[in-house]
Amino acid sequence: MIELDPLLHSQLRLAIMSILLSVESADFVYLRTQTESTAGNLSIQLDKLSEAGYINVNKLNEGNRPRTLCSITEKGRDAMAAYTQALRSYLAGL
Amino acid sequence: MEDIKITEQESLDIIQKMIDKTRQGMFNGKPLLWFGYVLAIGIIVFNLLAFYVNEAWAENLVIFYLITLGVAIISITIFMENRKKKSHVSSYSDRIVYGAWSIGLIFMGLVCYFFLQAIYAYGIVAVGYMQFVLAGFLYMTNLFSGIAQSTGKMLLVTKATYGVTFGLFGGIATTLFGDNVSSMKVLIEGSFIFLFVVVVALIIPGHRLCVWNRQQTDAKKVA
Repeated sequence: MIELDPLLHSQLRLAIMSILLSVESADFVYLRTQTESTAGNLSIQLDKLSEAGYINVNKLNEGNRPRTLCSITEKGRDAMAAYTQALRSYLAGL
Repeated sequence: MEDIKITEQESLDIIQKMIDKTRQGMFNGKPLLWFGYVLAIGIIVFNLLAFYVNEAWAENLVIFYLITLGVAIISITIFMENRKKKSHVSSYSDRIVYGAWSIGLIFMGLVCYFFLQAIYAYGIVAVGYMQFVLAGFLYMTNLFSGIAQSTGKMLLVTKATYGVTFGLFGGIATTLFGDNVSSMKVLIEGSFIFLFVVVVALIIPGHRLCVWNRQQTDAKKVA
């Protein structure tokens, strides 16, 4: 039985990783808009992905405005590649 | 979206949907290619007409440069304003375009140098000492934009004004203290300068972005 990464096999976390895969960096506002999630929920999922080393989260201050910038790591890219490979194998085997 | 479990097919659908959504509206480089090649062909055609048909076409070339320069400046301004609105995300295409325009804007100084020579070569004397006023204004703009540079927002404007200022001062010095400028010399120099800027700021980055977009599309198919 092919095991899918439980960290990625979640609607919101997978959406976050898919977005970050396509860009160099994206801030919190962009991720919240694109995923149509709440700020609290998004923050929790970003923490989980960051703890796993899949993404980098940088908190900046632009003038008086705080900004959270996220980017995918090499480990995150490898995890996504492995996840999609596992998905394809699973669906091909059905 | 929420933190809920999904099926395998839903996973693939989410990946596809998010990638498509993210890439919507991203700059693919084709406008740079179109504008660049049209400009380059226009420069070559006008030069051929001036050399082999009638030298009067050289005056039309100066007007052509003025129009294309105006279009380029307006396009840059609109593009940068749009990017400011979408500044929440940074992509590889942004890096290429910012880099290319930084180089292009610095070389705008050469373009301004050419324009001053063209003005004197073609006898447009009404400009007079307004060039000193314009150069002085741009120099002051550099100082103020240097102060604002700490926010990162005035960076591209600073490069443009530095380039333009030095070009204007250089052009003034050449026309006042140098030899008389012939119209054919202006035509040849100006054409090379423009072609160089067009290739560096438009055609090369346009091709690079098109290649990158093709690679992204192929990678998406594999995923």
